Amino acid sequence: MLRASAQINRINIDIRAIGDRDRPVGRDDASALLAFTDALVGRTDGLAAARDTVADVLGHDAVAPAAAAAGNFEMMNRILDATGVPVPASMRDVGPFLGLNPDGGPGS
Amino acid sequence: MSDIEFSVSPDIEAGVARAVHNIGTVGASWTAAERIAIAASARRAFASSTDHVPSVLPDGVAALAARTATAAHDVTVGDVNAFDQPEAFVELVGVVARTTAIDTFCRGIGRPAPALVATDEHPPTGRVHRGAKRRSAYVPTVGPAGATTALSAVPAEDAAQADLHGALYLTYAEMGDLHIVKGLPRWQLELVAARTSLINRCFF
Repeated sequence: MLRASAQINRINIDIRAIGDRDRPVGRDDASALLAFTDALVGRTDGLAAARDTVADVLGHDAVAPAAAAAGNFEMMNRILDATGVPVPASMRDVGPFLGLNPDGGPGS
Repeated sequence: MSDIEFSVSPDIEAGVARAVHNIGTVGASWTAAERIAIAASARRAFASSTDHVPSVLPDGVAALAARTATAAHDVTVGDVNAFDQPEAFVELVGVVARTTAIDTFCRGIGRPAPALVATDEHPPTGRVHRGAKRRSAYVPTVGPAGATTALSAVPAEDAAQADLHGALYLTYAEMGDLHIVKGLPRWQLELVAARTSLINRCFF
């Protein structure tokens, strides 16, 4: 969905940066969102600074929807993994591109 | 800047408030007090809370709630089969997952996690979907197992998941709109979603 939504909106980002965090994603707004997600979901001490960077780069109003999106996928990931929903075949192609192992178990 | 309150859309505020209230109400298999204990177990697992975990849960349930919160990919079909009825497990997962979503959102905007309070003392409703069948997932589902049906064996949990999904991210109907802007452009929402899933080692 990310690849499709970026392409359709003519946004040029390197989605490999999602899995390889040493790789530049290609845009300051995307970089800020990735760093914010790392700190929020990874529960690191850098959250306050990452939050401020999102506000500086994308605007004050961007923080809540970014946090909400992360919260939603924290929910969905747990639901899908814990209930053992099998990974869709379509995701098996994308996973290794992002640095994920599709054979790690249901949902992961 | 981190000390200031970040603006939150009315839709998100209302959706989070509904989810907080929902967790504190009676479920299909668990009382309101038990659901609060399940949520408290999930919170404590992250050491992000000193919430007291009331000792109202059967043996092993608090630990399973904690594991579902911190390592859902380690949950197995054996964990489901340990319950007399798989719907009790489905409800546990829903409560844990929504608690984690609410707490993540609040932490993201620098707001304390909301208090979760039992709001009724009714016995469990027993309302489950009798047509749900175990197919490709660990749990019974109505129709093929997927992101929007994983909790469908318990209609109230299924509805609560859809409601919070719509408030925090996109409604299921909005998922087909790749041009949508909902606080952020779709591609930026997807970027956060993809990175979150990768950190959680989840493919969805």
